[in-house]
Amino acid sequence: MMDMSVVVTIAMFVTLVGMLMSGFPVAFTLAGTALLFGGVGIATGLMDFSFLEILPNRLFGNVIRNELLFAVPLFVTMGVMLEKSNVAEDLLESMGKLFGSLRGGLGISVTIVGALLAASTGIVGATVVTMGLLSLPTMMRRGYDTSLATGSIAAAGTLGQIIPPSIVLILLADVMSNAWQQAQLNNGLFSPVPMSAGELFAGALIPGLALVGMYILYQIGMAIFRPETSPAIPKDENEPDDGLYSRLFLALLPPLFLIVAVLGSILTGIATPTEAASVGAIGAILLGAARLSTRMRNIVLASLAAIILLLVISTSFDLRMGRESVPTADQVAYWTAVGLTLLFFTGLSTALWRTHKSGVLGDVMRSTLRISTMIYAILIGASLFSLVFRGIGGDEIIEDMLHSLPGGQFTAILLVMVLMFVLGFFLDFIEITFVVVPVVAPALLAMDGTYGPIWLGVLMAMNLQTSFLTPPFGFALFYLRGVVPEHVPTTAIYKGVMPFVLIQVIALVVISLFPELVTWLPNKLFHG
Amino acid sequence: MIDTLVRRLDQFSSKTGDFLSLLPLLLVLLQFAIVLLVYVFSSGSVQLQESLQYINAMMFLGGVGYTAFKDEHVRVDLLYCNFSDRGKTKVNFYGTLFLLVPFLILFWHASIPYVTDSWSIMETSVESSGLPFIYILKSTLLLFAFTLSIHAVADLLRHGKALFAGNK
Repeated sequence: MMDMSVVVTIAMFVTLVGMLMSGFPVAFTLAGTALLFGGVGIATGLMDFSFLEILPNRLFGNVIRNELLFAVPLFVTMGVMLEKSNVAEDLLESMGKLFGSLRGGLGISVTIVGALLAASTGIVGATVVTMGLLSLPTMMRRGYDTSLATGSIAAAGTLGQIIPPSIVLILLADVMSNAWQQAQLNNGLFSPVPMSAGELFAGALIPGLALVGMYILYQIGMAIFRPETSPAIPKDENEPDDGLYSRLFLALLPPLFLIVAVLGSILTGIATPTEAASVGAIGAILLGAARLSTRMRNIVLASLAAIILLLVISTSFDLRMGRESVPTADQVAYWTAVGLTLLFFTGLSTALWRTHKSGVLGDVMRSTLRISTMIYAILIGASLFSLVFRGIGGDEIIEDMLHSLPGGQFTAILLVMVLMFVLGFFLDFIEITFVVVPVVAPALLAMDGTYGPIWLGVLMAMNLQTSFLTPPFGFALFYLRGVVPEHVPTTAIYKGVMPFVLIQVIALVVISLFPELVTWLPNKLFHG
Repeated sequence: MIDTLVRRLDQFSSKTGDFLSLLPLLLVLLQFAIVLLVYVFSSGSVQLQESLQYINAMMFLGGVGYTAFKDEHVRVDLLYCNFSDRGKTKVNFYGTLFLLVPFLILFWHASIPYVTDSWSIMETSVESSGLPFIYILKSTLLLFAFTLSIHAVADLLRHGKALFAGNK
C-alpha cells in the first residue's frame, strides 16, 4: 500500500508539471490535475470520494473567512493605484535627476525605486516591465553599459518580492503560519505558538535592506573601477537646479511616507496588515488625485491636515461617548473630531470623483478585481490539490523522505531550496507558495535545528527571488526581454544579471549562517 | 447561432466585471472607516468588520469568470507563448474540457448540498455578535461555480467552433 502511495504521489507532481507546461491557466490546471489523481486514489483504494466533498468546507474556513487574506485586495489597490497614477514614473525621474550627475547614479536610482515599489502587485513581471519601460531608454541614451543596465533593472524588479509590505510575503505568512501550527501539533505541542504576518515582515526587513545595500555597493564599485559602464549625465544637460529639490521632495516624500507609515504601523503592532493596507490604499488614492491639479493638491493637503488633527485629538481626549458622564472638554473634542472626519471624507470623495473622471479609478479597480481574483483562484485550485495530496498520503511520504535524508535538516533544507529554485523557473511565487510550501514546510519545521518559520519563510522568499533572476530560465529575464530593444542580445542581459545572482547567493549563505539577521528584529518587536 | 450565444455569454462575463469592480473600492472605504472608528472613536463593530468578508467573498468568487474572460488567470507561458494560434486554441479547448469542466462538476456537486444545508437551518454566525447570515456567505461559493461555468461554456463553444467547424 505504501509503495502504491509513493508511485501515485510522484506521478501526481510529474503530471502537474507536465500539464502546467501546456499553458492552460494554473488555477484550473491545479484543480483538474488534483481531481484526476483523486480519481486514481479512489480507484486504488488510497482515499475516499467523501474526501473531495470536503472542498467547500475547506474553502469556507480557510479562504472565505481568512482575515489575513483581506489584505490582498487592499494592498493590490494601493500598488496598482501608485503604478497607474504614474507615481513610480515620477519617482524614477526625480531620483535620476538627483543622482544622475553622479557616476552610477541612474543604476542606484533604479535599485531604490525598485525597493520602494515593494508594495506592488506581487507579480514579478509587472514590476520588471514597468521599470524596464521607464528607465532602460534613459540609461541606454546616457551610454550605460547594456549588461549593467538590464541586470540592474531585472534585479531591482524582483526586490519588491522580499521587501515588506509585499503581497507575496502576506501569502507566504498565511501558508507558513498554518505549517508552523501543524509542525508543532505533530511534535506533540497542543497549544502551538502562532506566527503573524507582521513577524514575517519584520524578519524580511533586514535581509531585504541588506540586499538593497549590496546592490548599491556593486553599482558604486562598477562606477569606480569601470567608469565607462555607468557614465554620469553631463552637468550642462541637466536642467537648471531651480525647483529640482522641491520637485524631488514632492515626488519622493509622499510615497516614501506612505510606505513607511503602512509598514511601521504593522511592525510596531499598532495595526493589523489589513488595517494598514486600507490606510495605504486610501493614501495611494489621495496621492494619485493630488497629481491631477493644483486645486486637487490643496484639497488633498486639507484632508491630510484633517486626519493629522484627528489623530492628535484622539490621543489627547477620551472620545468614547457611551460613558456615564462625559466632561465638556471631551464632548467638544468629540464633535470637533466628527467635523474633521466629515471634512476628510468630503476631501476623499472629491479625490475619488476626480480620479473617476480621469478614468484612473475605474481602471485601477478593474485591475485590482482581476489580480485579486487571479490570486484567490490559484488558492482555490491549490486547496483541492493539497486536499487530494493529503488524501493519498502524500504529506507522510514527503515527511518520511525529508526526515530520512542523510545529513538531517541541513540536507533536507538544501534539497527543498534546490527544488524550489528549479520550480521558480516556470512557476510564479504565488503558485509555489500555495502548492509547494504547505507540502514541505511542516516537515522541515518539525525538525530540530531549524530556526523557525520566520527564518524558513525569508530563506524561501529570497531563494525564489534569486531563481527569478537566474539565466536562462529566470522569470524576470523573460519579462525584461519583452521590453528590451531587439538589437540587445539576450546574452548581454544574462551577463549583466550574473553579478546580482552572485550577490543573492552570498546573501542566502549569510542568512543561513547567521539566522539572527532574520530572527532578531521580529523577536525584538514582537516578543521583546 | 453559436456566435450569438458566445457573444451573449461574454457580455455576461464582462458585465459581472463592471459590477464587481465596485467592490474593491467598497472594501477599501469600509475597512478605512473601521480603522477610523477603532483608532479615533474607540468603537468597533464586529458586524461591520464581518460585512467585509461578505463583500470580499462576493468579489473574488464572483470575479473568476470575468478574469477568465479577460484571460488574466496566470499561465505558465514558457512554451505557450510560442504556440501557434491553433495550438493555443487546442490547449484552451482540451484544457477546459478535461481539466476545468470536471472540476466544475465536482464543485457544483459538493457545494450545492453544503449551501442548502446551511439555508435549511438558517445558519448564523459563529461569533454571537457577528452577522447572522452565514447561509448567504456560503452561497457565494455558487457564484464561483456559476460565473466560471458561463465562461467555460463560452470557451468550449468558441474554441470548439474554431477547431472543428473549419474542417467541414
